[in-house]
Amino acid sequence: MSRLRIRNLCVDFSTPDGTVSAVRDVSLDLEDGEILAIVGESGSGKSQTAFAAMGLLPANARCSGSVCFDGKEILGLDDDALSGIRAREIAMIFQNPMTSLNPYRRISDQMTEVLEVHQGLSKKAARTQCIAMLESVNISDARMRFEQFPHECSGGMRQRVMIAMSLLCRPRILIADEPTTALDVTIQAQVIDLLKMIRERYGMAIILITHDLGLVAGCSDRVAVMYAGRVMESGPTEELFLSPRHPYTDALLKSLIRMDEDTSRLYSISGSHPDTTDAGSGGCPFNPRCPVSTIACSASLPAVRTVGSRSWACIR
Amino acid sequence: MVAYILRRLLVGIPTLLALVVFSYLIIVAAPGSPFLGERSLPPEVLANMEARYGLDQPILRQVMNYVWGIITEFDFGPSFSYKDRTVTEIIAQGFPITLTYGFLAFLISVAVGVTLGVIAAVRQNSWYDYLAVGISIGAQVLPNFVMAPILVLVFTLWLGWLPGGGWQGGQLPYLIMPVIALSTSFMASIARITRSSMLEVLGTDFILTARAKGIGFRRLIFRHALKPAMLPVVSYLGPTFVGMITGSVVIDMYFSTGGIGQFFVNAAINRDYPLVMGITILTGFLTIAFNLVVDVIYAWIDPRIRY
Ligand SMILES: Nc1ncnc2c1ncn2[C@@H]1O[C@H](COP(=O)(O)OP(=O)(O)O)[C@@H](O)[C@H]1O
Ligand SMILES: [Mg+2]
Repeated sequence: MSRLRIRNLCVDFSTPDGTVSAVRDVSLDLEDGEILAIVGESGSGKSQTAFAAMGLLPANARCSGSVCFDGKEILGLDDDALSGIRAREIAMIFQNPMTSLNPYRRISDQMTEVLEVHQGLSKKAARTQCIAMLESVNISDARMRFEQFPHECSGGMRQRVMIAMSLLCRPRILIADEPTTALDVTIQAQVIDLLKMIRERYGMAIILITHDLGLVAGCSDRVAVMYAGRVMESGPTEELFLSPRHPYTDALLKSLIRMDEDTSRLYSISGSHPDTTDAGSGGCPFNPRCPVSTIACSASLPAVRTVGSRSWACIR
Repeated sequence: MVAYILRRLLVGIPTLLALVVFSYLIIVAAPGSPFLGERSLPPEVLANMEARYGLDQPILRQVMNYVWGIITEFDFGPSFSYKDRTVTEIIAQGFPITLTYGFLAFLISVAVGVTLGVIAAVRQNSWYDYLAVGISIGAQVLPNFVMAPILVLVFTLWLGWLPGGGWQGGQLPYLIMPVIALSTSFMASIARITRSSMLEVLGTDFILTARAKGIGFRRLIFRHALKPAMLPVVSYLGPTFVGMITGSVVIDMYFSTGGIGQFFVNAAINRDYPLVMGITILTGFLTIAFNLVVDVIYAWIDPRIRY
């Protein structure tokens, strides 16, 4: 059985302009020790998928479907029930390390409270573990950093602190929502290496959310490509890169900048990501932008086809 | 930090000096004279009195004399309208009264206002929220000059529970109505500010991080959200605190408490220059002092602020 099993997850927001369907019928599985990348354009519902699993959806959101951790349903649990899951079993880090740590509290207080709450440790006992964890994510001067406020650290450093903090209770799963998007390119590589190292060392599963397909190539085991709230294609990273089954994946891959090819023009997908307010015309959401669409594509939603470890939602 | 506080206090001196000079010029420039009461005095007598209090001198000379008296002898002059009493004596008598009911009203409005605001924010759009917002809107439309007569009507005239006025050394029955009347509208403002700033803080990324850590609701509110949410409240409270402890004309008049709010208005009406100046300087000094206190609290709350 999968460590995490998401089935038919839907997330809708009620807004003054009507209902926004951010996540539609998403199903994913995550095994121990695996890095699953969720890739998609901004607004395609990647974050909301993760937030739904963590019970962190905004107040105006409604969700349905199922999220099972170790076979136990966790979707729709309240904060009290989820406190046994959050940080202990599933931890999460976020896109913007500059704003994700509490600027009014010392790093020490923010880290030790995790162990105080979840493991009943004293501040002093927690302290040793926290500093060791900071060292293990390659923070030099860990002792000094530990006593600092977040604003005294750089963005890369803060993301490391976030990662160290998320690992304190040795969770089974780490969800990293665009962990490198706000960082410099050189720091990005370091953070990705760190995530790979963590996977090796603790054998935990990682969900890496990103809009950057290039980032995924070197680190994930499997990829799920999302578009307009749906998973368009998923499969082992290498296979998916070599032979994309969905025209959207194909287009995404073509628009990657390749170092080994001398391209004078950048490929781009014409049109733009659909507005998630319209309930969908019933056809494939990528149809209006698809270079190979047929009349049948606008008729009905393509069923998900599964062959071996790969699945995709396209009628072709 | 200590150096910063000392520097701010030093800067406060010229500020206060400027306040003294400008207030003096403005009040003397206002039409009317301290000695033109109901009965008109013969011109010679008037000239005599003006000479005695130095009012016949050029205006800048008067200001300098006044300031000099304060600096050398801490002498704020005699009151013109309260015979045989100095400004210092009057303030020493009235200020403790306003300080007492003002400070109590301050404590109550902060305690109730912050509590209501926080509850409304964390239970946004629930009936708690609507109730808290309802109470604070209700209190907002009841400023002290509306509250005072209503309280007297209910508790003195109908129920006969509380004395309608007086001070009696600040005994509890005499305190209750002034404190309630003064605190309601401030309480409402504090509740509104707290609610909106709390809502803003609850929407920040670091609160999302804290929730993802599964640390529990109480810890989330008290350890993570409350301090930053208090920043706008603190900046509102600085000037408000000064306003409350220097008293309210309405309270002093309505409940005959004998605080300096009443003295101030009487002094202005009677052109009692020294008394007006004395109370103005007191308020000015307190304003400067509590602006500094606000800045110090800010630096304590937000480690990114360094002076
Ligand atoms: N609080 C909200 N109210 C209404 N719509 C929202 C809210 N939060 C997110 N959305 C919408 O949900 C969609 C998916 O968002 P998200 O999952 O954050 O995308 P991304 O793939 O970039 O992480 C977006 O179209 C966004 O506008
Ligand atoms: Mg996102």
